[in-house]
Amino acid sequence: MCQHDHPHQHSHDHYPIECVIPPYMTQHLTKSENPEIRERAIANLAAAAAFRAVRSTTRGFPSFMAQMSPSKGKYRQIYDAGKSPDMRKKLVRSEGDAKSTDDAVNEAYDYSGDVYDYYSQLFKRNSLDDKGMTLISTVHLSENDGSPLDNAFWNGEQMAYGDGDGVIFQRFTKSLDVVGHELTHGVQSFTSNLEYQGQSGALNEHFADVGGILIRQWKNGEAVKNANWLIGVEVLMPAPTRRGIRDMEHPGTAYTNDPQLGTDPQPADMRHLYKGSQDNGGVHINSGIPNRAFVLSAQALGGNSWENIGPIWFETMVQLSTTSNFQDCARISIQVATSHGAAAKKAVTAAWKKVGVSV
Amino acid sequence: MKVSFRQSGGFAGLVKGVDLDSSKMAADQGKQLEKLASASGIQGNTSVRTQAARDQFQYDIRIEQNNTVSQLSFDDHTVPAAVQPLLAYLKPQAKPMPLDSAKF
Repeated sequence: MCQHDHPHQHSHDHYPIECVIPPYMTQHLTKSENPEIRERAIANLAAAAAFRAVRSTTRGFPSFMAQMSPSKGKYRQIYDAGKSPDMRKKLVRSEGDAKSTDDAVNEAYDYSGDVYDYYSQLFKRNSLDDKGMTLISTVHLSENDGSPLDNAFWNGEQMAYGDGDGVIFQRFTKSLDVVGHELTHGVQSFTSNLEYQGQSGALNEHFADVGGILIRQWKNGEAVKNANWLIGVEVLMPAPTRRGIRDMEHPGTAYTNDPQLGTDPQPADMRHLYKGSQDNGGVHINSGIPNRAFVLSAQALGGNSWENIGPIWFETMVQLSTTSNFQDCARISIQVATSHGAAAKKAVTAAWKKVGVSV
Repeated sequence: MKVSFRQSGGFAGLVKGVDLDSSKMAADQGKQLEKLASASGIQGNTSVRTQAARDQFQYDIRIEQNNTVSQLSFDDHTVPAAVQPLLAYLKPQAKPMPLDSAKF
């Protein structure tokens, strides 16, 4: 039976929750002879209806979740969870405040500033929602049970970063491409808002990786001919069996026979598309396919990725709809590339063909 | 009682899991697993996910007892309180798992 209570409800009580119960089952249970079962079934039906209302509201109006910045421009806030699961435990640095003595606080502040500058300078975008939304980050977040969090995520309104366990991962703020990835999830929630399941979800992950890598290459002045396409190198504890969290150029090779990570499961083409139910239907797995198409396109066009392939991919991202699949993405990116010249059209068409997506 | 656990997603998209059978465990450990699984209240086939979040961990727990199978899918922010102790017991035991083996 569906339950919504959890130990940290106070800090997450405005999250939209997806609750899928076979309706016939819950309906049936409301007629149970057991009063306890009957009561819980009725409560769950009421709760599910309430959550559905929040979900449809936030899907239709993502700005519902945005917090406008006082300056209506670049404005950052960094919270320190203090190794607890409390996302808003203590506000430790706001826009213009002096540097902290805490590296994680400064990384979250500086890198979210880089991401703001990237979208502002290249796409004239004022923050994630293009309306000056405050960029809120929480660092030193733990798991619900207080253990170290091996993760970074976007919760629908802000970023959150764990410190890692010190065996596989170290603090997730260390990597600009990780911060760029999380914030690009935010940009997507105000544009294409690709549904986080199956191929649309894999595209959501793909565009987040693209955002992360482009921001890093732009910030470091890395031209395509010298670029590496690894995601999250800095957040991994070094080991001979791991090079990064994902390799956008060679999906499926970022780590191999690693005792803690296993072997990178990302497919490099459609023949190896994952069709199972793990990871929301493989959103972090199948993103390897469009990631490779993006890198092949970037390499064919050369120069600087943020100047050549970047605008084509950004325009594609904003044109997609919530349920777009790989073929839709290929079709639209080729259409967009056509407006950037014959060479761009040729490069993007060949890249999608190479990964097995024909248009 | 058979209990299977899968963890997937997160920023890294790692797939981990463990399959336990209380009848094949030491008596006290088997009893502990059965107690935690029973206390979790997992019944039927249910999915409880945070819709707007990205890069959350996805957890799947499958319990098989007396030819009845129950399965729950949830994420970091929708962990039912009653399931938390079972999750805390299973998570440290999960190992990297190839996608083919991760299938329930």
